[in-house]
This record gives sequence, structure tokens and C-alpha cells, in this order.
Amino acid sequence: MSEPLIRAEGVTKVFRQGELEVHALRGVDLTVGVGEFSALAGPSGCGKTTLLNLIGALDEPSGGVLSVAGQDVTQLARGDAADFRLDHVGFVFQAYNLVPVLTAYENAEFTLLLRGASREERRTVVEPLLERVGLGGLFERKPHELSGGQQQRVAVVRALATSPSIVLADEPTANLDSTASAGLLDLMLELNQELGTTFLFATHDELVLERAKRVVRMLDGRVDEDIWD
Amino acid sequence: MNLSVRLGIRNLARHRWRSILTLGGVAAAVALMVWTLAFVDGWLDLMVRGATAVETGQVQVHSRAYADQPRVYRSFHADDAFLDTLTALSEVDAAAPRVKLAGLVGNERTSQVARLLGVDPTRETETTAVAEGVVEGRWLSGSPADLTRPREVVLGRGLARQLRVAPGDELVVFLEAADGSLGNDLLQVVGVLETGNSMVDRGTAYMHIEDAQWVAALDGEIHEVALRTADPELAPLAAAAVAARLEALDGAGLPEEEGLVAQPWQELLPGLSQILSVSRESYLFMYLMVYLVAAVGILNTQRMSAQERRREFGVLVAVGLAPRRLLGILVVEALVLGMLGALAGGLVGGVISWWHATAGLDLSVFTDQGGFSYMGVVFEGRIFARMSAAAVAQPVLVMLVVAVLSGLWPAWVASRIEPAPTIAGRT
Repeated sequence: MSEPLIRAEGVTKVFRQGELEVHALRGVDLTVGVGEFSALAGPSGCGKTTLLNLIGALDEPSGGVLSVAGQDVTQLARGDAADFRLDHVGFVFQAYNLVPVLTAYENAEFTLLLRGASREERRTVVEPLLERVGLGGLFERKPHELSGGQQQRVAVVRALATSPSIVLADEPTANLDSTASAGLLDLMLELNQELGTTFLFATHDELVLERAKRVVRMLDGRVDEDIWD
Repeated sequence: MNLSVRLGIRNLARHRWRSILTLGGVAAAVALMVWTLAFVDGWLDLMVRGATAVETGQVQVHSRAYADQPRVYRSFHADDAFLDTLTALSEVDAAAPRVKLAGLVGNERTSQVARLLGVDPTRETETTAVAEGVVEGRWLSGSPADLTRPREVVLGRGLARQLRVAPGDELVVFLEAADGSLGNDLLQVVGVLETGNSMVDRGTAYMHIEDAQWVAALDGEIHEVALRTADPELAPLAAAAVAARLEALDGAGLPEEEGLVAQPWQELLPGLSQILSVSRESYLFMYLMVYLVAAVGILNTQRMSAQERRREFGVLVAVGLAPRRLLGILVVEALVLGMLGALAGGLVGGVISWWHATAGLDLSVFTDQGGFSYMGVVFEGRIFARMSAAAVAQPVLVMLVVAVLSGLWPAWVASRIEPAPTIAGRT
């Protein structure tokens, strides 16, 4: 097993809705190594997206220990959490979520811009990546001028541009047809193998689960099964 | 281009009509303020010039006793050398000595109380615009009366009407002389004035200074020196320079308690000065009213825009945009909105103001009498706006501040966004 990139011990998450307490995670223990291509699977409401959000420091756990890339992410201030994500995490979301007023190229270089990279540095990183994902010649298109699969490829480049420790992908194929989904997943797998970037999915898509080297099945806020390929 | 500015400009194009309406509101507010500042400045300028150019001058020199309480005997000696000393100052363009008297002028039919100003016709013409107001006859001749010529008088039109006299007619004047005696003499009307200054037009008679000194037994002494400066606004500086020169002259030979004082028109006409001050303070109220409407427009646009883009902001924060930077981006967006509107408004307001500075605004549009009188100054014909870089720049710059302040709250609310629930659509 590769060295742990993510270490979760007894992680819990409780959402309060008025008087009601919803236990989304009930003590998750999980380690994820560098370079893994893994998936969190399970029925809706099992806690996979919640766990992904906690790993990406988008939310704070209610209890337990959680470290990512050697950093405790349980109590980061808002600004520190943003800096942590910029340095260590790439996100790919279900609904692509590109900035509509920016071109494909500008969306792809966005995270590098946030890091203060120079124009030349950005070009050196982003152009080959966009070419690599098959978007050569579409740099100047706005998101609404791209297909769903193309938009998601831009999102993948945006996630990879800063060479993050891990890419967290929440249902990345949910809005794509099977052909586009297969193409995207093959691409992500190739990038995982070429760049050594760790990918962690939250999904119920069989296409993802087929390609994942490891599937962590969750049920009722706990890890139910951990299956290695 | 900076990321924040790029996003700001492009997001404006996202909801074109909303942006155009907001920009139009901002531009209208700025244009209105630019025009108002230029027009009111022009109007105040005209009022100051009207009030000071005809009689007061921009600075006056009196004996301290006369300045406290004008009396015919509170006079001082001022020869050409003294006047030349004052005009040698860079702040002073011209100086005119005066004798100021009050008396009764009349003929066999009627009589009127009048102010009588003894002036040096040449120096007065260099210092004030009174001679330009002659509408009948002529201005005073350069030398005083002698055995061959009568003592001349030029009357304000109102006074001439009341006395029912015209150039060529004779009048008798009675007044209190400096030595307590009753001065009187026969005067010949040589001209009638209409200056736009109601005090001059309704009740003032101008005589040669030596004739006035003779009638009032002033023995070559005067009551005041009126000074002209290039810029009425700088009168206090000129008065200070004159005061320093007077001090150096050791009070022109007078005892200290009767020394000479120099006063700018702001002290001589406190009512007018107060009007100016109030008018300028009213700009603040105007700004408050007009810019409040623009600020609400910007705030509403930014709030709606931020509300519609919550999910987008959630994603940006999720991929590493720090909340403080999101706040910065949204404030810059508001600034871009305000800047584009302010520049458009500055341009439109500047062009309209320039037109009114060049061609003037015809007031007869607003009155069927062709003009009106305010603070003793008659406004008729056209009022010219006063264009200045400040009159254009100030409303534009204030709008930029208003835009930033209006954008702060929506930006702050947006920067507090919780990315996870926002992306999931739970908030």
C-alpha cells in the first residue's frame, strides 16, 4: 500500500436543521495513499459527498481526526481553508461549474491566476493540458459554447493545473452521456497514471466503479466495505 | 488585465439591460452634479462679480474708526504716491480713492436722499465697471469743476427717474460736511447709470472726488480706497498683503487707533459671503440626495448579481479563491460599474456645462420679466456656467467612492458564503 495522503479516524459529521440532528457521518476510518484512483460509492445519503467535502476542507467535521497531505483540516479558518484547497486540492463537480464569463482557457488557468503565476507560467501549464484533454482549438470558447463533456474536461484541467496532491471529483459523470463519461474517465485515469495525481470520486456511476482501483462502499455514514482491484 | 477588472467588466455584460439601466442612473446622477456645480459656480461667480465689480471692489481700505462706524469726519489722507504703493503689490490690479457722503439731492419739484460717491473718474474706471453702466449722457470728466464748468454728477437710473432729471438738468445737493457745517452746491447731471447693482442704480450719485471733498469740507482727504484683484476668490490673500503693506507704511501717518485696515469683500458683504458658503454647503445635500438614488441602484444591482451567482462563488471559493479576494473582486465590480457610469456622466455633464459656459443659459425662459434681482445684483440675459476641472472631477470621484461603499455590503455577504451547501444548492 502506498503512503497515506488522507488519514481519517473516527470522523463524524452532524448537520443541525432546527431541533433536528442529522448524522451524516458516524465515525469514518479511512486512509488514501498517494497516486490512488479510488471511489467512494454507496446509496444517496450514505455520506460520500459529505466525506469528500470534509477531505477538501469545504466543511468541518463534528468530531474525529482528519489530515490531508500531512495537514490537520478539522479546524481551518475560512481563509486558511481556501489557501489549503488552492495548494493541495483540485475539485471536479457534477455540474461542471465553470465561470460563464471566462473562456475555456481562462477557466483552466483560474487556479494558477489565484496562485499569482505569471502569464508565461500559466501558458506553459495550461496549453499542454488543454491539448492533452482534446480541447486544442477551443481555448477561446465560453462555457455555453462547449458540450457538457468538453466543459467537464476544462474543469479537470482547472483541477490539475496547480499540480494538487489530490483531485476530488463529486459525481463528475452524472450530467454526461455514457460515451462522454467513458471518455472523461479514461482521460482521468491516464492523467492519474501519467502525472501520479491521486483521484478520489464520490459516485454511483458503474463506469467510474469499473475503472477505480479501489472502491470504498459507504452505508449510513460509515465505511461498509473497502474493495481493492 | 487584472482578473477582478476582467470579471467586473464581463459580468456587466451578463445582464446587459440591468447594467445599462444602472449605468444610466449613475451617469445621470454624475451629469446632474457636474452641471449643477458648474452652473451654481457660474451663478455665484456672477453674483460676486456683480456685487463687487460695480462698487465694492474686492478689497477696501478705511481708517479703523470708519470701518467700525462710518462718519463723514473719519477720513484719511491718500495721495497718488500712497495709491501707487498699493497698486505696486502683485495682488492688486488697480486702486480708486473715494469720498462717501449722504445727503439730499433735488430740484424745485422733488428731492431724494442719496448716497454721494466722490470718485477719481480715471482710477474708478480702472478699478470698477461703474462707468460701463452709463446709459444716457456720459461718465464724469477727468478734472473737477472750475470757474468755467459746473460740478458734474452722474445718477443711478432709479434716482434719475425719481428726480425726473436727465443729462443737462441741474440739481442742488445738501449734506453734512466733515466740519459739522451744511455743505451745499449746484450740480449738473451729465450721465445716467444702469449697472445691475440695485444700490447703485436706485440711490447713488457719482461726483468728481475733488468736488465732493470741496462740498464736504474734507480738505483733500478720503474715506476709502477700493482695490481690484484678478480673482475675487483670492481677495482675503490680497487684503492680507495690503494690510502688511499698510503696517509697513506705519498707518499712513495716522495714530494707531486710527490706523488703516484692509478688508476683503467677504468681510464687507457678509450676507453675500454667507450665501456663497450656504450654497457650497448645499452641494453636500445635493450630493446626498442624488447619489443616494445612484447608490441604491448600484447596491440593488450588485446584490441581485451576487444572489444569482451564489453557486458560482461557491465553486470559486472551493477551488481556492480566498473570501477576502472574492470580496475584492465584487468591490472592483461595483467600482467598474460606478466608474463606467461616472465617466459617461462626467462626459455628458461636461459637454452640457461647456455649452452653458460658452453660450450661457437664457434666464428669460424662466421669467417673463427678462431677469430678476438677488442680493442686490440684477440677473438678466444669460448666466454662464463656470467650467473647471474640479467641477467635473469631483462628482466623478465622489461617485467612485459611493460605488465602492454601495458594493461593500453585497460583497461582504457574498464573501461569507459556505461553499459546500452552496454548491449543493442547499442555500
